[in-house]
Amino acid sequence: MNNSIKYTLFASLLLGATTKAEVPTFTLEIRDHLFYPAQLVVPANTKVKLIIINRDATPEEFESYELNREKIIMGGAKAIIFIGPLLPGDYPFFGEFNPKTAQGLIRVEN
Amino acid sequence: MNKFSIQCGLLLCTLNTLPVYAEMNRVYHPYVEQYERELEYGFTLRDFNNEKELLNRAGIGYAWNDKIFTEVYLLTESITHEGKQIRGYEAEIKWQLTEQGEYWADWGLLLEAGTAREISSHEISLGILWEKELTNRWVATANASAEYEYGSDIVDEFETALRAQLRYRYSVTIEPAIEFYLDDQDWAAGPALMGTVKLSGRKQMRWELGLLFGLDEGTPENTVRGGFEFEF
Repeated sequence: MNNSIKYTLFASLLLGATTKAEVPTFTLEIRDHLFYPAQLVVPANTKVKLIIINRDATPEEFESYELNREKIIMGGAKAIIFIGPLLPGDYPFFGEFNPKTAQGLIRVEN
Repeated sequence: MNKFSIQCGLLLCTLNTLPVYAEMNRVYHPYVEQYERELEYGFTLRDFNNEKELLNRAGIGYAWNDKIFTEVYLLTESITHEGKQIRGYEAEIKWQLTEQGEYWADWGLLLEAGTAREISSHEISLGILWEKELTNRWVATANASAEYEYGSDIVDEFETALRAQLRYRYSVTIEPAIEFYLDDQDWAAGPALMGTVKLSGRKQMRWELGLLFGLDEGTPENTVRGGFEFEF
């Protein structure tokens, strides 16, 4: 076994990527300091990939203590956030740079 | 043997090195928040046979992007009844290797370099940062590091250390935890409290306070550690 295969196997074991299944993907947009859609329904007990596209010229920060995530999305850029697996329930999030307007909810359902 | 067992084994192999000295000042998380600026103060108060030793650190840090965070520290050391003296300087680079939540666990690297001010004593260390969300509320974190100390005033040597934390995400302002610090000089464990106070805009203050009990005769019976990080 050559070194590159060994390194790949080692990295796969560390990262848990050897049997990586397709992750359900959802998209959020930020426009005029608002999240669209403001409410997103995702499956319970499943890891989910959120693609957040910031259409504004200014940066925003996706923040949620309930989801244990914080991520800056620069103006005109996009970011990827992985959440879950989560139990059914409501998990609020907001934009830290515009907390009064940029608010949303992840609803986790069976 | 399933994948989980193999991964646990690999982690334990990484951590199962000889225990050595490292300051019991915090457990690092493997995350970087883009463009975050930080001013930090931290202390460790150790009780050596009724002689108290206070270690201080003051630092300033900056996240250059969503992967790399750097911080420089001024370290002081003082025996409380003898006054303070400058101890040295330290710099660190934290590299977030994986996106939070993407894989089975989250990984990062920590490279640290330090030097003493008045004697020839230098150190460089490389650590692995690991974190795993056990549930939505419980989070496990571990740091394993290898350090090389050198200089004409000390004996050159390799050392390793392990720090671990099990934290309960109760609320933004208060999170209780249990911590373990194992190295060649200290074996200690104890409870800790930490949290974040939101200020205006992006500004926030993170705080930590921990009490550690020595688990062997060579470790101070009681150690108090604390820190404040002003992020803006």
